[in-house]
Amino acid sequence: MTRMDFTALFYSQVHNRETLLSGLDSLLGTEVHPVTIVPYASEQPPAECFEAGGRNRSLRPLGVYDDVTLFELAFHPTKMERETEVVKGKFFVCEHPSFQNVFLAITVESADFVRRALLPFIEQNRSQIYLTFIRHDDLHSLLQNLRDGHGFSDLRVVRASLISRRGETIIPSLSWPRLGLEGAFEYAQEQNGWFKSLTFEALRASKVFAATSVYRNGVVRTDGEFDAVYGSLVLPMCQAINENVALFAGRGRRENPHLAVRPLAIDFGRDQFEDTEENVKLISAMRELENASVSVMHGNPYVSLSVVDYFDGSTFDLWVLNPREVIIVPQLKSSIAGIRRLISCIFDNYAEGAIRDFHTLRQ
Amino acid sequence: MLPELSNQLTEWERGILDRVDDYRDTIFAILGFCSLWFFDASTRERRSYIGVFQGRHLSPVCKKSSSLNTQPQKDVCPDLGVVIRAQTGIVGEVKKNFPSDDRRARKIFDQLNSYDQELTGWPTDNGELQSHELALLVHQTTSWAARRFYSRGVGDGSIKFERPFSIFVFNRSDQRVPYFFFQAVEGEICAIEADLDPYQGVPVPMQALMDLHSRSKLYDGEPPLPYLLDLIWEHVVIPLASENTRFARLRSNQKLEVDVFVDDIVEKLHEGFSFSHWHTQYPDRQPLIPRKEWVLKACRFLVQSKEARWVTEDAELRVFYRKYQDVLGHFVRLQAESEAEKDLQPMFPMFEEGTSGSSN
Repeated sequence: MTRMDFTALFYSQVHNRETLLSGLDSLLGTEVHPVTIVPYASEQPPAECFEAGGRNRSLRPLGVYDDVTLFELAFHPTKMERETEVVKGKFFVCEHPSFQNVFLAITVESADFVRRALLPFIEQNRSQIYLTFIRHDDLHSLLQNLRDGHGFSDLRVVRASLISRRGETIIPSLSWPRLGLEGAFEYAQEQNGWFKSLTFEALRASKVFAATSVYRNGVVRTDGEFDAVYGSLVLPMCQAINENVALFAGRGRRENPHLAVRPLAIDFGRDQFEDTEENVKLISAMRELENASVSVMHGNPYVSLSVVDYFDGSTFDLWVLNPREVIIVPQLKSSIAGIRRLISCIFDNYAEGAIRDFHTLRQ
Repeated sequence: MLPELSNQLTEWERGILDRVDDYRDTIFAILGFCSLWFFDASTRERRSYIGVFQGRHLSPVCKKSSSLNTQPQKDVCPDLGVVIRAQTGIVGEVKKNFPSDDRRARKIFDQLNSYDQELTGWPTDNGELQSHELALLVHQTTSWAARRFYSRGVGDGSIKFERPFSIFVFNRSDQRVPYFFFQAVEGEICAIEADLDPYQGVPVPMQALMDLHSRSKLYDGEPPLPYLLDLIWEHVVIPLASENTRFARLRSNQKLEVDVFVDDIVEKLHEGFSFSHWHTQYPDRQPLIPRKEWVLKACRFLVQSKEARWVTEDAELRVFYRKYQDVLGHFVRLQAESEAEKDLQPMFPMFEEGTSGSSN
């Protein structure tokens, strides 16, 4: 008997945002591939912000409906790569219903397509596109809301990518703990760490209703319970992106009258820099910033760094002038994406804190 | 590279970085001292009746003289100035490292002495003030030299000011919240505002100056070359390079050619990083900072270091833009190598161009 290709059928239908989301929920019951959703922000519409190709990727828009665009993306591995077969797949992009400039890239293709084609493609366009970062504590709250709001008895963590800090050393690790949600977060705390990604099974009693993965950059993948995951994880991530966009926009001095500065502060909520050894750790963490220049103007006892983001030429001064905060002063040119990359670097490689407008913090 | 050479280079780099630090501290001192007057700590607002300036040209008022051959005196250019209610003023010099040798110390006091006369060109509607006084700001570590020189000069009559004169010491205090501390330690200061007690000493938290420092990275003293090159690279060259579609994906061994005019560099740095935001109301008599000759020197250094070439000599530059992981560090290393090349050539005849790699 010929098996019906529900995925092909799904792609061939004309969608708007509502039918797309409801269709995905039904599709999950029939198809083997999970849904992967990448929430992102961009000041440009999808057709413009995704560059049509690159060295070994090619993109083709297949259709533009009301508020949904369907693309086909192909990845052509080079001869050097182990797997040489072309990876091809489709993905939708739809705009968030209420947040301007916030979009969802959605695909029901294989994990291979997501890993080798889609995510690198988005990475490649990151001067136009910015994902989010979910702080460890916020991730915990989101997952608690998912569990409690949708009648799950527990979320059993079956795979965890953890980053732990031992003194000055950052240690990434991968584990398969099979711990309940609270147990997994207690484990992370014991390890002085934070989750980069988690895969969990959503349980009711002992029955698994969905296997879901959630990444610190906002990417979510699930093979079931689409409505619950969408409402409790994806939409709050869109909210986080929207808040970041509002907070990070217009920070460059050229965007402000009289070239005024509009600094941001990361408040750690404790005397993080009580010990000047922390300065060394912060500087070392900043040196992990990808595709950037980090110059130390002063390292001890206060910190003053000059940072250039080579993705788009944003420039920043970074200061530690009190024990609680890192202060970021966007210089003449500063993009939302550049600020996000800088803060992600601090969160990923040093420590997490609350992001605030520096001047508001002091009023 | 020979170990002796490598150690020597590291020493040079350290020396250059110390000079960068001194330059930045001088800016903090200018900002901090002026903020004692313009910032009202009780309201956390800027006092609208206080004007401040940096590097302004003030002209001595030529008194009518019986001699017809009186030469007009040269303008003076104090490091800082404060104007209170358009009536009184303070002009000051900042010397982070006050020299211990008498000849250089004398020059500083001669300079201060040139401010001790009626001056015009103040940032007021008619360019005049009723009175002004003088201040010398020195870092605490060298303040003893300044105070000793001053006391001795007053004692033997070689130093005499007609206007109130004071010596302030400043230092950076590295407490939990770092701050700059200012204290009047010699002479008298009359233009005191509200609850300001300069004799007791006043701490100014660095974070209160951070906004200003982020906008004012250049004053009218010549900056260390790598510091200026860092500003040119980060804020003039990179924005131009980023307009190229290859910018984001440029590999570290690739270059982009970026053409830039010397005058544009001066203008962009002046607009973004001088004290020009203090001078919007009375911009006349304010020099263009950075000075064109400093920028030319920096451009020539880029050419000499093969990081650029002239399209039009001393006017338009073609920069071979590359990504450096530490822009300041790169230029510090380049200058250290250049100094090493000059100084060590007789000692190490084998030290030839190209034998030393730059950082990154």
